[in-house]
Amino acid sequence: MTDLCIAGLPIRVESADKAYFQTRYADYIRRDNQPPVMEMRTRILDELPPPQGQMLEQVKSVRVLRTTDGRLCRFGQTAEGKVMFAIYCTPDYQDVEIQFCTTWKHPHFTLRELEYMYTGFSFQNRLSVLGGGVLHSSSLAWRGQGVAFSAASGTGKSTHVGLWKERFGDDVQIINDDKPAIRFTEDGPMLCGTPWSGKTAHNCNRMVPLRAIVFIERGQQNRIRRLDVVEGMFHLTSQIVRPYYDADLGVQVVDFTQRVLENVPLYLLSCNISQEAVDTAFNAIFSKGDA
Amino acid sequence: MKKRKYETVRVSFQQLGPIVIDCLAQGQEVVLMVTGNSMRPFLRHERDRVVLKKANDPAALQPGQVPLYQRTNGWFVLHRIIERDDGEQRWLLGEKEPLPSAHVGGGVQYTMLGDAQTDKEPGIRPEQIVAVATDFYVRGKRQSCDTPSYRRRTRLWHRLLPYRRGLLLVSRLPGYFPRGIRYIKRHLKQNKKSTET
Amino acid sequence: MKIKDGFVVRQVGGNHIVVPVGSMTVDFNGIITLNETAAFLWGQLQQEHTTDELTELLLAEYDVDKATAEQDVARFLDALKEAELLA
Repeated sequence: MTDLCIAGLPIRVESADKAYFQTRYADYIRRDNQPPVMEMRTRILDELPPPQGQMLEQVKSVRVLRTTDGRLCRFGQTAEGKVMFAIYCTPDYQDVEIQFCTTWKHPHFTLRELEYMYTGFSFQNRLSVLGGGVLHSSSLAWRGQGVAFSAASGTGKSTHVGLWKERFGDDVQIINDDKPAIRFTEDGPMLCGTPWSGKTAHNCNRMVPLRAIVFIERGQQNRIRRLDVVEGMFHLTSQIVRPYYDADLGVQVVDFTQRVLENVPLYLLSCNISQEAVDTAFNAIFSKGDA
Repeated sequence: MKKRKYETVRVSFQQLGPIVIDCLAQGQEVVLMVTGNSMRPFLRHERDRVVLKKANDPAALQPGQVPLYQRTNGWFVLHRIIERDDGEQRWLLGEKEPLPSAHVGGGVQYTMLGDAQTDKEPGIRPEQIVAVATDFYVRGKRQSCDTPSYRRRTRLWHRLLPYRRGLLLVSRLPGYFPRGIRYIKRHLKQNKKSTET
Repeated sequence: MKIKDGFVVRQVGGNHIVVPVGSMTVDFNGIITLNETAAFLWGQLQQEHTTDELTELLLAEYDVDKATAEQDVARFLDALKEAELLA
């Protein structure tokens, strides 16, 4: 068992792939005695017990049921009915157990990657219940001010953040290259590093005030503008994972999305890969004096 | 009781991106609402839908097919292929014989054009193709993209490219299409007759 | 008829935005923007109503003539049917 502090939240994890997660979690270890707000375990077993309870629905190939002890379980099985994975969660996502079958052959991911992804999803679910959320974005802090650059995969978020790093050196720190957390505190919206940063390990255990979210699209020229609320809702909804297996949790994700919309300036940056693109974004975000 | 001020009922739909792409990558069929009017008169904004499947071989699509592709700026677009250039030969929509290639550097390149557009978009590479349309729902009715009559209609519309702007202006009149194509055909025939006589 | 379960409506600025939740996220991958009157009709269709009932409700609430109301209700229902949002 490992005690972590992620986005300021005390969390307890039990990993299956211990060696791998030891490095992944290294920056987030805590040694205080605070009771955790979330516990998650991953078990990799030769044979998974078939989930028992009341079947709720089937979404594509995933089945969702309510166990007799009130937990929500989503699971997938082979054509022969052998369970390949099962995720058990209490209704508040405070306690999560992730089970993978040793013989699970996912078309794209290894068990290690799957454990990494599912622990990330589980953290995200708990964070949604606690009023926060996760935005698909590459995010940085410039002199302690957080900016998240969001876009569909392959648009060049990380490349753009790399350009900021190149330009500002130690004034810029990458908070999370793929899935930073956002929480609302007394100090306003905060951008938080988490260990789940996609393909790269670019993340750090820091919380900074979130100054802006910038949606990126590629263009010939560099241009930036503020988004109106409908556009903002559209872009945010596209880049915030919405759980298909739990409508109540889904509502909380929409609450979060709306809160971001109402509290964080949103921009659309049309840009190429150049330092001029950095200027365009920087001037729009930080020009109004108080930075 | 004083009644509230009335404003004409408006509903608009916006399609989201990422989940669809994941479904397509896994080989699932995906139905998307058509947004934008660039495929008029064949497809109408927020009225028609398109059934998409992952292209088995994105380099082997033919002129006349309608793929979903991603522009280098990240946007996804659904337009028709009007030209396929494989570096040796160039096949044009509606032409039986190929022309010599117009680009050097090899590899397959497509030229795209929305049915309502007149500015061609050349240089689309197979890597940019996400999926290809197999069927359309036009006014709620499903129709295949692979019938001779559909292909005939698309070829005819393409032949009318020089008159496209004018035809589209006329087609803005409500309820004009899809009767329109037949109407235009008849009209052209009549015109021909009248010029001949 | 009524609207399928699995949507939440949020008012942001002067707009009403509909977002799918739960398994509807998979079936309907988009968001819907409604103006004030459309949002009123959307709200009414959380319960079972006929076309005529919807027109009556619209007439009772808004300063609008019957022909316009009928036409708008029909267009609204068409849009929902097209998107397969009616149960």
